Amino acid sequence: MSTPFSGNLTTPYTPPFKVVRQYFIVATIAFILLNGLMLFSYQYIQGYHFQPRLLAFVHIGVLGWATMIIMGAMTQLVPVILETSLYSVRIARWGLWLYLAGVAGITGHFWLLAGGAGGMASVAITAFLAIILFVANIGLTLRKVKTMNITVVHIIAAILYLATVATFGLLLGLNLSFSFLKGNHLNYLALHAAIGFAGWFSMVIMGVSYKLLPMFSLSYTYRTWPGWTAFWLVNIGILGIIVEFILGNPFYSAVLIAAGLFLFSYQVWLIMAGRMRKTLDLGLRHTMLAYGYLPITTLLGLYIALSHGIPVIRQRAILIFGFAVIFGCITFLVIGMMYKIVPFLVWFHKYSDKVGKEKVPLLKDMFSERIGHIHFWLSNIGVPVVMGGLFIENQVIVAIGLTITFISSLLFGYNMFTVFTKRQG
Amino acid sequence: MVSEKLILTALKHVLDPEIGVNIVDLGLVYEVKVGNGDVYIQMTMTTPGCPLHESISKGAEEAVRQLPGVENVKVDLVWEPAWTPERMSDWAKKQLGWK
Repeated sequence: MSTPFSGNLTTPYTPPFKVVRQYFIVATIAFILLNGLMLFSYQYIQGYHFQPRLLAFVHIGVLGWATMIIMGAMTQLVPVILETSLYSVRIARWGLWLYLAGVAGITGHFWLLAGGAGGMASVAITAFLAIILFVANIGLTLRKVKTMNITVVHIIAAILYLATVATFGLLLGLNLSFSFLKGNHLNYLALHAAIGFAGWFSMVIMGVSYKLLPMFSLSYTYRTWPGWTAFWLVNIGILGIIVEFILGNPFYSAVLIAAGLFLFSYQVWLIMAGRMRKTLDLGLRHTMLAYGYLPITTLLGLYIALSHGIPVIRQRAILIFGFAVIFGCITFLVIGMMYKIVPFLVWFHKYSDKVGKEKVPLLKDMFSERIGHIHFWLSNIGVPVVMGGLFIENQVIVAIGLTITFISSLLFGYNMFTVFTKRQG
Repeated sequence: MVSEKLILTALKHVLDPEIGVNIVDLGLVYEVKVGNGDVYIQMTMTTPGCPLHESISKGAEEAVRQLPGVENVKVDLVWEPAWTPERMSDWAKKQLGWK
């Protein structure tokens, strides 16, 4: 048995609560907006993936929602993990608005791409600068690291991939305005997406899971070799697909990434099998569902990377893959972790000095569990319905599924609003 | 004069806000000593990295300090011996989903 992955959430080193809170609030609004836009433009969610509305949806999902939340969470957690101060609170505070301007500009331009892509360059540069500022802020904080552990290693890899994805995104954005890249724009897009999902998001999901899952499930004694092996497999796989991109070959190294992600699933199983907290609360239920979607999306991603024939079926697989990754893996994990982290941060801010002196709420009292369970089950139904609709290419079923996920997003937003506006007493 | 039993009763009002179970039933309180208004509490957390350790240990101190006859309270947070689930009461185990 090895040393377990344990952790902490707040220390004197953490940045001001209101800075991190802004990230969570803006991202939650982006999530509801995404669900609403997809519902009211459901007819665009079909066919070829390189089309303006779909690109807008994807970028609201991965940049406005998921990456925004991760930025806020890293701003809070990285100083805690390293037991040091954030390099710059000012960058964290103002970087958010620069990033938001860039993301809003990118998604707006994608939405209107049919009318011309001339302005894409300026918004791509804005988003790129905001991401590089974030990477620099976290990177300069990480410079003070005293001891490397599995979470720190994953975070270092994750921010390096984020910088790489942003660079490719900038090149693609500039190319839409000035058309200077040699070769097919879509090949660059494939690498941009592959590094985004397999590099940035995978490293974050894996690293954060090793930190928070044992802490929330009270799991202490388990083998850790699958986690480390998964890290190396995924990273060697990503380097492999970069080489294959340069050589113009299909992404055969995706097999290594898939093997790494399956090993990660095994590591999660080991952690959860040894947990002392048998009952899964709302946060952990969402998190477990995210892990459930991971093998499905891994197999779909592998199929997309290796397949060459029957473009119609492959095209359908790309749509299902994109939806399942964003709404299955990433969103369920983000919502699960938000149900654990956000109530704790608000509780700590408002009640930690009142324990023992007066009655204080439990973390589960910070929001409506009933509403939480309702939106959990709505998402649990809505996401597979949309995937099924995309699979059989039935727009009505897709619209029904999106209606369910939109209602679910509103209920989630209501619960987060309840947490943030919780009054003392 | 304040008794150990009274102190444990006061500590039962200090809950782990994440788990929703009080620190006595969780088995986090290892030792309570009382003498001339001075109270010594030795306790632990479920995990060394517990994010709530400061809130809970200060909460325990405040809960006991409010008892009549208590003048000084010292809470000693220890990690050895490490907490194990066997230290929980049957009621606490049931709350965490143990059959």
